[in-house]
Amino acid sequence: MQVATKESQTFLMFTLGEETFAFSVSKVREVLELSRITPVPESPPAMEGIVNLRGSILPVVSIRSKFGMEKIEPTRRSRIIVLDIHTEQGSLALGALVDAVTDVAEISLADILPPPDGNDLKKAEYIVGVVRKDEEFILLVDGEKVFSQEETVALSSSLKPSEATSSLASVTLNE
Amino acid sequence: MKEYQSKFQADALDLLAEIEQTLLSLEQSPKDNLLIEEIFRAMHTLKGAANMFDFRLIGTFTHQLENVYDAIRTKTKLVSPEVLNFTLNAVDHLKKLVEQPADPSKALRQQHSILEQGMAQLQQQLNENDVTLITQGDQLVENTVFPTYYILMRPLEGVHISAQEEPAYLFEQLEELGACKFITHHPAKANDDSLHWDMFVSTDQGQDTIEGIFLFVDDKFVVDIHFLAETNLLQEEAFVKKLEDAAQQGISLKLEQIQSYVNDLLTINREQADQQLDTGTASSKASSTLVEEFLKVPRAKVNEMMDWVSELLTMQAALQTITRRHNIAELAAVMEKVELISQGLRSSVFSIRLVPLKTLHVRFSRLVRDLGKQLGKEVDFRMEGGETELDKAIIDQLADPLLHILRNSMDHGLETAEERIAAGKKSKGTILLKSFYQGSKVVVQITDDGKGINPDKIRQKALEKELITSTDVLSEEEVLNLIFRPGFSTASQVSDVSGRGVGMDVVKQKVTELRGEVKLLSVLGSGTTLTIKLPLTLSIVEGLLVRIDNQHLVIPLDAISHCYRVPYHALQKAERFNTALVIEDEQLSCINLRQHFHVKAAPPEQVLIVSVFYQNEKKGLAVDAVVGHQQFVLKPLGEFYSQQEFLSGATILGDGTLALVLDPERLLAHYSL
Repeated sequence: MQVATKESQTFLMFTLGEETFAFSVSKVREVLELSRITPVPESPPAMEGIVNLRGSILPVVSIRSKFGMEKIEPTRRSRIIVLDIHTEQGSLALGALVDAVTDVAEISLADILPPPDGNDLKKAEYIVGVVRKDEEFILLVDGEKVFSQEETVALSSSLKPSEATSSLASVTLNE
Repeated sequence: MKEYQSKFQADALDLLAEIEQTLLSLEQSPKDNLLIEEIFRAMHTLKGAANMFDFRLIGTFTHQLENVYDAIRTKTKLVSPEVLNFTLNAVDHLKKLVEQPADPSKALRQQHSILEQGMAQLQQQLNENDVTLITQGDQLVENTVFPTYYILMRPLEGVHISAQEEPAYLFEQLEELGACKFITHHPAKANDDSLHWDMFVSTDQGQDTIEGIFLFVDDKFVVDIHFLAETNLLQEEAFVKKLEDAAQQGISLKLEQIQSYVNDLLTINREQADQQLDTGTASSKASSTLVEEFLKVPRAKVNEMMDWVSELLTMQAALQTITRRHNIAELAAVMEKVELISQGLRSSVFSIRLVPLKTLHVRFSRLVRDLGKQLGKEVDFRMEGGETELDKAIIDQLADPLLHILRNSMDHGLETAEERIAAGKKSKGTILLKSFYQGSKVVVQITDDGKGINPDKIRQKALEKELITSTDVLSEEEVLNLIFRPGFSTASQVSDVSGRGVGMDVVKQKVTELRGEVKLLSVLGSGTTLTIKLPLTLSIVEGLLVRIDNQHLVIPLDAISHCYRVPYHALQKAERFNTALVIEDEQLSCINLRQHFHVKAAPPEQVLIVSVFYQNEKKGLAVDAVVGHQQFVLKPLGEFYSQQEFLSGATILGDGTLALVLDPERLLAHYSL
């Protein structure tokens, strides 16, 4: 794996529809081929469900849904990017469902431009920069920002009652 | 820094628990110097750690506490109940300080200065007035170390002593000084002048006092007084026996012989003491627990290991399928071995999470001790089967309910000493906490020999609280178990200790959450037994694997009562509970899980109704089919799904896909809102 230096950083490119995005590889644990996602009833719409990641449960979130795009049926090119999300409780693994993973590339920090001003508000929150590559714009996404916001808020608000009443949920939280 | 802080907190709490445990042992045997040493050492370590992390408040406080124990240690004082109480309070305070080491609350600071004042007084007492710290005179004599003297008295040569002239009055005077041993050597034949007396006395009065006694002895006698040893030799059985044996055989021991024997004895004693020091804290702790070596491992690592084992088991299932398909004898043989290994691995990895119930022992004994003092009841608290192991997660959550039960037993169960004596019982009450395995369950029983629970009173109370009606016919057991109903408080007189509104219903609720059950048995006049039955672990659940469309679900077996097959259209009217469904002449409310899971695919013609118990009533869950019955490894859904209420987790099936594990209790609670 390429090591990020001060001048450049390595990014993992993925697509959603026609657009290309990228996560910094420092946040990426691995990329999974799509396996059957088990839906969990009565969860937020962006939560796709859970998959078996070598014996542990990996929650999967639809990035499309997060970015306000229409959900599509997964295809053979669909991938789950496993991200490291840091919360107050520690580090969590989270799967991001994307249309396809296209490339890993080193991007010089000097080439990163500030994000475009809010043409699409929902997405703009998470975009930390733009890079021009060939004839294309790549939007750099702050993965942690995408997933740590509402889920963690939901998490912390649910933490108190679950501590008091739930058995298993609170057991695992307290571990 | 935060990371170090939590490391310090964990270590400090361990040390404080150790100190607390040792203090409780010390209360039982206040003469045990090793225990004092141990407390001192633990305090010293705690102080060092606190100062290292710059938690000065804890450091200074522990330092003062350490000084108190240093004084007790070096002055070989007995620990008074006041000192013990103070130290226990100080330990409680330190625990709170450790929770918020950097920024203690105002209340905590106030408490801190109160305790510091108390400590200063204690120090002063220790330094000035030695006597206040020594509890009782009898213990003092028994325990304190006095030197031993040997006095040889014989008549002057050629002087004949008649029986009347025997110095019995001397014996009496010597006995006033301390422990004595007298051996009279009568002459074997008449006119033999070998008559003499060996006298041994252990006293703190010094050789001068002894000489004083013999000062006025008749000048017919010669008296030699020798110092023998720093310790009371008369407590050494071997020494006394040696003297008696010699006297019986008519052998008169010479001073040199006695001295050399004393030297041998002291050498042996010293070696034994050294050995005890070598084994260190081990020997002092041995009284309560066997010493095992422990590794402290972050829980995350254990969980990770369990994940790998689960994955291995999944892979093993896959491998098994392939083996069967190909029918190769060699492969089958290897497969069999792999299966054995992975099963062994699985059980040993799961056992890592299991901890013995006796880890709660300190908290229990402390509660019983403190409450006993508060209520003025003397209680003999015993724990049997403390080595019974339960999942750490269960133990952690079980502590509070168990403490609550103990509190109830102490407060309402056990009578006062006078009442007990009047009832013809021992004045001291007994509480027994017993635990043992029963199949795949663990049973925890708390028994007291108190006054028991009067079912009539319970019934009366339940009527008052409108939990039952006067026409209800209930068995005695049913009546007793009414105390687990919400809103029922057993205290007819609300006391400071229990009966503050939080009643046994909370205990019941907690145990139910841990997938356990609780039962009450009581014999009026002779005591109450509360039995809690729990699963060994929360990470394995036995259940029924069911299917809805292509989705798998697990329903825990302990909730399930029956399965019925019904045509799907019978459910179609159901919005939430279909109250119209009548099965085997019983009305059954059902939840259509297809609707609950928003399954759009066409339903089968026949569906299965799995009936489960919910608050003693049967409710139905409609599913497409039952796939099988087995044990499942329960996986948490993770923090992103923590708001998920009616699932207790998920499990990985043999083919690697996932099934959600239902929590029927919650699901039904959700629907009956």
